[in-house]
Amino acid sequence: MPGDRDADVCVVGAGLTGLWTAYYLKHADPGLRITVLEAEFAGFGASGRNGGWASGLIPGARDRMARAYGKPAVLDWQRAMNEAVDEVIGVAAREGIDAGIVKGGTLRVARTPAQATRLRHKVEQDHEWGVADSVLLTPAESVARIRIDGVTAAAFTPHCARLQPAALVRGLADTVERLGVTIHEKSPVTAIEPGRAITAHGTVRAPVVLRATEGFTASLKGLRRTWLPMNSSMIVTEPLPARIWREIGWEGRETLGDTAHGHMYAQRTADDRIAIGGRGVPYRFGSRTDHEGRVGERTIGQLTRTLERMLPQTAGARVDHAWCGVLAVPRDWSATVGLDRATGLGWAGGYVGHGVTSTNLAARTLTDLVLARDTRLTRLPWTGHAPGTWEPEPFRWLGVRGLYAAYRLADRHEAGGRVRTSPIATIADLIARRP
Amino acid sequence: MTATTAGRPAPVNGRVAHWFAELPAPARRCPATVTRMCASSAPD
Repeated sequence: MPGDRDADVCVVGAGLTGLWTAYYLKHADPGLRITVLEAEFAGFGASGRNGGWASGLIPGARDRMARAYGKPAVLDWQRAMNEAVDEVIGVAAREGIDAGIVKGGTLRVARTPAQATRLRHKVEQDHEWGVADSVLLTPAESVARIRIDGVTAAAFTPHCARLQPAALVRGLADTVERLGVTIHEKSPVTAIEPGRAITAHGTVRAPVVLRATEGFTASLKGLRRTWLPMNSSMIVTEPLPARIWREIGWEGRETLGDTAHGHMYAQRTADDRIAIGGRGVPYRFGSRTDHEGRVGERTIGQLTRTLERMLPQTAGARVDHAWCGVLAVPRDWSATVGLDRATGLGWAGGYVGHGVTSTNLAARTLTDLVLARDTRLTRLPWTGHAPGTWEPEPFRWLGVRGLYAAYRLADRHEAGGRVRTSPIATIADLIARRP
Repeated sequence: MTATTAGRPAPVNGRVAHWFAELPAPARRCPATVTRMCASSAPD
């Protein structure tokens, strides 16, 4: 680089967190010089690889956060998340970003008695937590939406939109560039320090440096144990013919999930494919992350079987593509956003896989923090939250691998027909602190 | 559309996820290591 560069705000990471933040900062103060540094290309990480759920799900453990910050604060966080779903949709519409967005809500299905018990409990909890429009459906009502095999119970919430994640993040990158934000791709940052972000060939100096690196945070100096890079894998079928869609239904384009411990997430895409994801290999030793998103044969087989068991109508459909990526999991499974005014260092992330909407709320919160505004958003419970760090290796690897083996075992245990959650999963949740 | 390795679905044209594969090629944004001039002329 021909000498160091100066900016008012340097954002590290051109994923949704970084780009939403640049977007709102530039709108709030068009005179700000904002530089975004990106190791690969805009949307390379989870932002461009996820399941395309713009969901109102809180990226955190409601009970634990309420104990720490009070129930009213968590209720307001939930309201802000629900509103953020519509904000994502609104920005896409205003900026002309065609991301195939349909707000069809989320259908969550149970396919064993134990899953049904958990689902009913989850809806009761939702009502306690201010999500009054989360409703239980009978199996018949569920099948009227999507003809899934073996449904024992289902629940629906309207607070979710299906979208094409790469189209959203790419559109957002184009939008912020039009506003005057500078994005440098292929520019990996090796260290973040007060007043500067360091790349291999030069430094961007800025009084405010914002870390928006989510699953890749562990690769930064001093941050290896901050968030665990959790792997998730996806497959997508070929476009399915109208004949099969007549058998399946899914006219509402709901996002689709289940309540298994090793849960799956799916959507009917704008071009009539089914995209479905799940954990696969959950974690790599030393918090290593993949580069190209290659997925093993075994994971592809597992996801294909999950799809075909749920929707036998898809049997024999070609799998056109498979990939994986990393999301970030804080030690207490609760995301965080903040800015240290003394150092000018800010951060947002740890969305535990619920990032499409959370990134938007986090970015508006970061914007208020950078501009020193005391707002409703800066008082939400995740602002300044410190989730603690993960255990050192090899305990981290042994723990995560062990826990996910336990979840697989618990799912098999529950498939036998027991009504209550397998104690194997209950113990695993306690150890993992998974909400 | 699908690149395969031994018949296995694989990343498409280095775009990582299917979602990118169905979009037009992205505009290049120059690395911090070179000047803005690269945006229209230099390789990745």
